[in-house]
Amino acid sequence: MKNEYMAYPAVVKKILKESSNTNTYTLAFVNEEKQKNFKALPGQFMMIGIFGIGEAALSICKIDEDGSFSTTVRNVGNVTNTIYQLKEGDKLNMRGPYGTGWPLEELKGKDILIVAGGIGLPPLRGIIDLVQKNRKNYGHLEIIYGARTPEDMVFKYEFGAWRQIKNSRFDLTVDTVSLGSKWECKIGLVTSCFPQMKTRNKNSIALLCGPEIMMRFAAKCLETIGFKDNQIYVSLERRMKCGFGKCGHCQIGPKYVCKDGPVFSYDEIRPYIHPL
Amino acid sequence: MNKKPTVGIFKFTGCAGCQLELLHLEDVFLDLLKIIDITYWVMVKRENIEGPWDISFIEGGISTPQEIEEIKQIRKKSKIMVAFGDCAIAGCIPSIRNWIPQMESENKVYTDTSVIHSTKVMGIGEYVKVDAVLKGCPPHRDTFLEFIKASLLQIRPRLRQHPVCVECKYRDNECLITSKKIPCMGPVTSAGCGALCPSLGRECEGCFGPMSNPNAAALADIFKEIGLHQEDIERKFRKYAGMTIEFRKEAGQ
Amino acid sequence: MNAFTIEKKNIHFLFDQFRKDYKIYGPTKPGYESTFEEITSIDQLHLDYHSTVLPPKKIFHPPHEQLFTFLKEKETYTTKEIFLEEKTLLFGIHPCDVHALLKLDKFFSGEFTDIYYLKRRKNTCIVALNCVEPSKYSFCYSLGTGPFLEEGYDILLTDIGTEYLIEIGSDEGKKLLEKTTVEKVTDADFHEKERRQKLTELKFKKHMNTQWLPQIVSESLNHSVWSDLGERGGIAGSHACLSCGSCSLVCPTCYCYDVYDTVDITLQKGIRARELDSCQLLEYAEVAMHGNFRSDRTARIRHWMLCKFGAAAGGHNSGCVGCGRCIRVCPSKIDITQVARILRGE
Repeated sequence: MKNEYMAYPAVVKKILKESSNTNTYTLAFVNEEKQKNFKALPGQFMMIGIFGIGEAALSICKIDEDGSFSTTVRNVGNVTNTIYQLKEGDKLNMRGPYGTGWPLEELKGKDILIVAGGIGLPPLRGIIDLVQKNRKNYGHLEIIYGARTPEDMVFKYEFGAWRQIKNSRFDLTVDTVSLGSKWECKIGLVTSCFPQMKTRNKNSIALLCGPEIMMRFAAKCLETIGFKDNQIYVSLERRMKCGFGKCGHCQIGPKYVCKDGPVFSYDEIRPYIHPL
Repeated sequence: MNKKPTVGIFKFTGCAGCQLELLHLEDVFLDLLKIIDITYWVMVKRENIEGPWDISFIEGGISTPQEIEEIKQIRKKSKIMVAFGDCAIAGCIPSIRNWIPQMESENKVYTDTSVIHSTKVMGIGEYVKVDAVLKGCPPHRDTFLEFIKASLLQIRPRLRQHPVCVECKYRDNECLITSKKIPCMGPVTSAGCGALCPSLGRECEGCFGPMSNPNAAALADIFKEIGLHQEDIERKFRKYAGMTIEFRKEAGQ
Repeated sequence: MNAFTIEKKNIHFLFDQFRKDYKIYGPTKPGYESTFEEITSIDQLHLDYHSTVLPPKKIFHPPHEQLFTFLKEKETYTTKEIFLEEKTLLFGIHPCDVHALLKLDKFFSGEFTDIYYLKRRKNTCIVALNCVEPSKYSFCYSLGTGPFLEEGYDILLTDIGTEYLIEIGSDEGKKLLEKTTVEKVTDADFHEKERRQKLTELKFKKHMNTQWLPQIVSESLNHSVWSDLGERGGIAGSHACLSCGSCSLVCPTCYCYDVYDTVDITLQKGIRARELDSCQLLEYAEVAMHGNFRSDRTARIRHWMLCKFGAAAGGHNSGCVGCGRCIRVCPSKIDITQVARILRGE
């Protein structure tokens, strides 16, 4: 019997600065055997921690060919704060991957709409990478990304390449722009980008990740243009202690976010997303 | 590791019991001195340095104009200020006198009140910014250690906010309210004591102050049902934390 | 032979036999104030108990448990797992609690396993005791988890007057009895058991109609009973919920726990541990940046009831077994059977 709670040593291979309080870390297990067998899907998450501090559920944003993966961490809690102090070559501990990930089979041949808010973009980055690499397997790609300020946006260094993706549209919006900073895109909620949206409800899938309130209103807007709940997928955040459906903390109605999610089809989770 | 953080320990209006609790750290005290540098602690040290401090622990509430001045001076010289114990948090037992006119309480104690210039007893948060609170009358010494360790690790300490009931259940105790109709403050009181009193068959007095999101009104109703008079209920809520917003209504506004 | 009898005064024959191989846990007081403790002499055992404060889950899923230790040396960590694999025997556990363990067994196995729970559970022998005097709070009969047991035991005892009827449910149980002085069973003994079962079934004061209950509760997320319990004065006969967490901590199927690290004063070594948690506590659903997915008391009590009615993520495995502990322990006198009746519109 495997001890699911045991976390294994991993090394920080690379750190990329994203914003004043956010970095992207490329990580790999120290044990080569373990690293070789490591396989993850976009949308899954890892339990990453440091002994003495604790563990946090962090989503996988990028999977490299050598099997190492990246996670984007915003410095907001005990674990993330400690990770934030690490340097390249430092060690931490991790276990996983956990969770379901995005519905990859479902996406094939369809138009994909990605709506992301703030630190909600990293879990969706794997999908953008996937479409980029296998362009002809998918239809139109549309990315709508909103953040509090231009500085808070992550993966800014990829925006140029994403704009070059064939048969795609990329729209950005922010809540506020500080005086003197340069901003050429929209100001407003992500839903303010919807009037110009090209994706239609036929043969398409919408993938949402961001604050729950953003996802709720984005889903509501999508419904008005004919999207069905089963065409919309959301990735949820909850408190997680075990990552595999035992500690109970991440329950939302009859589901564990860690085990049954974090990606859910909107029709299975809708009754619970608001009241529970 | 970085330089040892400097720590100051100060007493205002209180009984010194919180500081005494620190002396009960006997078994780890020498180890503790390896990781922090206590530069100011009048109760224990002959030579004290007047700041600045990385962390200052304040015992006692504020009850005189002079204390207001002093706490503000300490705040100026402290990076992190901790309300250490219930008195510093919300006045605790000394604040019972806030519920009667100042004149009345002064006359109870002093024959000549002309030299007394006390204010109502308040927690230090009334006058200065408080970065952390360690609940209890006195706080458990382990919470002090937890706080020190967490500060060194630069994380938030794991301090329990849940009710005494949780610790009571951990210890497999019968509920005193339901089994013996004893008016126990456990269901609204913050844990951290290890359910000390209920484990000995005595009701919780509420000495750790309000838990997170307590339902004080419901407990007051329960006390009424088991036969307590309104004044008794008010006294129970006043005793340790009557000045807190969580208990103020049940303590009689 | 799969059944025997033993005179009540000779029950220590069983006890002495069990003690040879097992650490024995049993109820230590009569009535309601009992707790499951380690028993070293037969005088400590009180089979005339109604219920215990904590259910037997405390032995397999204890309030505090150390998962592993870690030690930091030259920037690398060494870890050491802590397993307790003692052979334990539960003496006198009631049918509701056996059913709760069967549920927890299922819960902690599956795709992901909980090695700590399962290792302990594997080394356990269950000597169950059918209830002939059900507690006034219990309603196991409504849930099919009592008062008499059909499954999940190694040995089953039934009080049939001056004797206990002993039934064997496993090879382990059989082995244990081979070396004990027990008497033969007659048809009359079985008839007596049956008679007592029927008699006991009539003694229940509380009932809960569970038909369609998970569906009903799932459709009643906006029912006024939740805010009555959470914010207003409670429901008839009860006060508002205190969010004290007692109901879930004493529940034999509540499994939720928190995981945390503690370090010693050197900051170089420590323990990863877990502690029973409760969905009734404010901190339970708290996330970074002060987000909280169940900050209202109303949402918390609703979630717990949903879970006990089998409509939360634990499904049937964390559902109610009717032991009545939550009703007895609640300072606000909240009664789950009454909540079910209100939801059903009865």
